[in-house]
Amino acid sequence: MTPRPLPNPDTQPFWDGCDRHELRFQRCDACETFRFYPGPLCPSCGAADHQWQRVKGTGEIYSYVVVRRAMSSGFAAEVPYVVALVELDETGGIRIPARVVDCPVADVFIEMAVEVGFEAVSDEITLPVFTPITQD
Amino acid sequence: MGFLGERYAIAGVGETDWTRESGRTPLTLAVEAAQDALADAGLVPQEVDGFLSYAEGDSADGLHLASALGAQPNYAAEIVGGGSSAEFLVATAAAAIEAGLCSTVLCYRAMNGRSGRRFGTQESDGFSFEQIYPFSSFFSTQGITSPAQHYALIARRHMHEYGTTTEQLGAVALQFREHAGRNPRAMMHGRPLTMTDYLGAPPIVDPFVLFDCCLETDGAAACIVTSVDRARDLRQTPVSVLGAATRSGGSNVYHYGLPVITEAAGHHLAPRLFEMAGLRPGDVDVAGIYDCFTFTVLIQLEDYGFCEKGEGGAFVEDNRLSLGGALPCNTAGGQLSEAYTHGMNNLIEVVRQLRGDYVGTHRQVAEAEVGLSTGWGGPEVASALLLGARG
Repeated sequence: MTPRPLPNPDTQPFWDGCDRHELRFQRCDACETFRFYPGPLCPSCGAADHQWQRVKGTGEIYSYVVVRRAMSSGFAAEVPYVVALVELDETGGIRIPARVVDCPVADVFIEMAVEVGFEAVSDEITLPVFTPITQD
Repeated sequence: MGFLGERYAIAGVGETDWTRESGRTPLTLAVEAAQDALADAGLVPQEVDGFLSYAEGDSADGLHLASALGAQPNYAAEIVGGGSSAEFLVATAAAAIEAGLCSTVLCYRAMNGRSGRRFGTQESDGFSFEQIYPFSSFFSTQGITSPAQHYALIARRHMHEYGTTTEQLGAVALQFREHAGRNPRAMMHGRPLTMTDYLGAPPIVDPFVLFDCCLETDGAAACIVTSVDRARDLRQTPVSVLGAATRSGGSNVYHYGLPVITEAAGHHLAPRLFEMAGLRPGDVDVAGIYDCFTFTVLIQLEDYGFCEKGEGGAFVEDNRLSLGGALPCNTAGGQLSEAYTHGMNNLIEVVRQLRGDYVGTHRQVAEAEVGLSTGWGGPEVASALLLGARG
């Protein structure tokens, strides 16, 4: 089994959003800055009031790795797999770590355009993953 | 000369043997390294009144070590600094002595890093990174569970921005392996490495292959910090602390959100470090640069000012890190080829070079008067010491 998140009161809304196939982040009421990871105060202005705002989930790969040897046994069957830092549109540039799927490993590159999808790993937990945005 | 320069010194160093399966507890390893350092300094355990250590749930703390040695210290503490902790400990020891809390401090790291809990695995003993790092859920669920996987993200971006190459990472691995060939105690002694070997090694996490990653080691290493005045009365030549600086800037996930992720913590502390000592990077004769991965050496060379940002790859070419090079570095083999003790082995090697312990052998750096030892506890966490040969 792969590691499961351990949601807490700070992070629960993020995981609840994933469960509904929505990518949601805290956004400061005072200065409108998005933040990741979740936390009680805005790192930019210190205000506490915030909304959990849904974003479209498009963005581009800022950096990535190709895991060839799994260090957690749950991922042994998955190698090789790609995990990227995805810089999200509409958020002022927050970056989240996530798998890149439905794409040959060798085709992944920095600045590749991607969009979010969701992958249920258990009855309780759904993870965000990203796929390339295909050029029509 | 800066604030620390006239006051504090490393009076003794020591370590255990390096193995993959010690068959001993971390406490026993800590006792052995402590006894080695005490003998080096000419001290008995009852003369040590401070104990400083660091661990990630895998060691024996200072209270237990003190009791095992028959000491009753005034001061014991654990530092949370990961791989930057060796230098944090020495800096904190000097601060504690300055504050009057204690007078002679044993700093150590003991771990069964291979036969016990291995970094990057989450299976043993129900351990989860979530217990230490509150936001690891965002990484571990996606398959980022090890330090190699984290730092490869930064290495890949560095390659993208500056054209850093695999062969440049390999140059670091080859250089430190060559140093291990001079050190009979190194785990990789007698096992030379060529660029062909390096390029053909099993991939771990692109862009890192096996030889980009440090060893996993059972063992312990220790050093003793006291005042320069006291150290002058002891058995060994004191090595004085000329400068110390630390940075606890934030978590990995904080770093990944910064506009630039290819500048790490050393970039922020280096000006304070060199200013305290009244020195410049060009004054450093020998260095111990934290090498959990080849890449962390390359980026720290930039961050500490030995070259411009983005030029670390070019810097490590042309044997600059060799014993006769511009910046002899990790001269016992480093964590890549001597042993992994979370940084303490690199620190004590710099001390030995400055004392001239290897004079007359092919291991001594000529005219080594100023040493640098750096620690890396993640891209936002670092500490470093400038050390001086004259006590």
